[in-house]
Amino acid sequence: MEIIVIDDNLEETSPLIIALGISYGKEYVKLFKKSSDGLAYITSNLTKKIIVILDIGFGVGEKNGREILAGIRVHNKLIPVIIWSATDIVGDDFLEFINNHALFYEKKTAPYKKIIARVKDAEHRLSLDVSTAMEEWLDEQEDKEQILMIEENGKSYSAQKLIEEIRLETEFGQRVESNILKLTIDLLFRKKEQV
Amino acid sequence: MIKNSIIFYYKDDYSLNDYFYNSANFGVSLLNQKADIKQSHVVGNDCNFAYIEEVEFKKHTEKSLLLIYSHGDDSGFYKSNDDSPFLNSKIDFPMCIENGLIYTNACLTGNLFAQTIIDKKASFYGYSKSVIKNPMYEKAYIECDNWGLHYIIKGYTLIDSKKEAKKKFNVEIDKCNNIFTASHLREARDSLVVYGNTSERLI
Repeated sequence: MEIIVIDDNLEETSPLIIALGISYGKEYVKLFKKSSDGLAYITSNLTKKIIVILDIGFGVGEKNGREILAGIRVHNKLIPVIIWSATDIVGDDFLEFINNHALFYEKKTAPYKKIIARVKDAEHRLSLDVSTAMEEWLDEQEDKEQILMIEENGKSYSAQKLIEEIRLETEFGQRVESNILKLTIDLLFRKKEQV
Repeated sequence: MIKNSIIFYYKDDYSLNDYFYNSANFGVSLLNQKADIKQSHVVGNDCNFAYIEEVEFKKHTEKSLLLIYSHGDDSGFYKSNDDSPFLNSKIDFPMCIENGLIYTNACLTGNLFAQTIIDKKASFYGYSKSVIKNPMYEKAYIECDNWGLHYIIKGYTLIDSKKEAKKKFNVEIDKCNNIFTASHLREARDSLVVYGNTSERLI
């Protein structure tokens, strides 16, 4: 699990970064002061399990938090993103943050311990998520190019392709997730009958 | 009892190659066990609306079993990637449909189409949802698609035949070594529907 903090006001010595390092290990906490660097890191490491803490306001020439969140969602709909900002979210920005699945919003005045609690909550949600479990299972497959499924229209899916469909929550990806969940429940209940 | 059958199928599907042809052959091998049921085959290019309405259906005046192996949507049956269906709910339904049975492996036809034919006093066995068929597991899919027919021919009611087909799906789900295919078999199993005269022997 990596915690990606994108915030130009924080330092490596900030209480939040220190506390995250204690909880998750220093090497698993990455601070990016330039928002574009943070987005580039995330899009280059989509196979990793990631939670993002994102500020909204950045300096001139840098993408703001709304744009960064939208940029993340182009590649992955599932990464939990916690907004931690001094800026109030209003109007269309608010709608865009909601529509791009921001998980939590905390004001900068919130104590760092509250942000840690939000990160733990996000981690718990990730652990319960079917798509995360499937991503992990698919990610463990040695041959990610091996065809695992062929649709009726002839379209084939490797583990890598399935991971992408799930991450982007395409209609097909959602159907696969739903089917796996229902199969799991079906198998559990039918096996139970035989016990 | 139904003593006449019409079987619709074709080769070289744009996505499933000979799946419908092979599945139909399996169904016909089951049907061959009942020598008293006449068979008429509508194959390949004959699977088109005009031929079926103007020629084929006019040959059949008694209630019939229609076995249809093709793609489908809510309202009808399609050959390969044809734009128009070769049989749909708008067809001028012939006498052979009345009190007959339509048995199909086509997706989605257990909706509007099934509703239309039960209004004509016919019965229906098929799928209400789209079913993903993995060609790598063709044998399992073909057997599951035809398992209900196997029991209908043995004299089971539609309800009981569907129950037996679900058991067959469970066998294939449990022994499938590809979880995605197993999950799609589960989806297919749960979209099986029967309508019409479901509690009396039809054959």
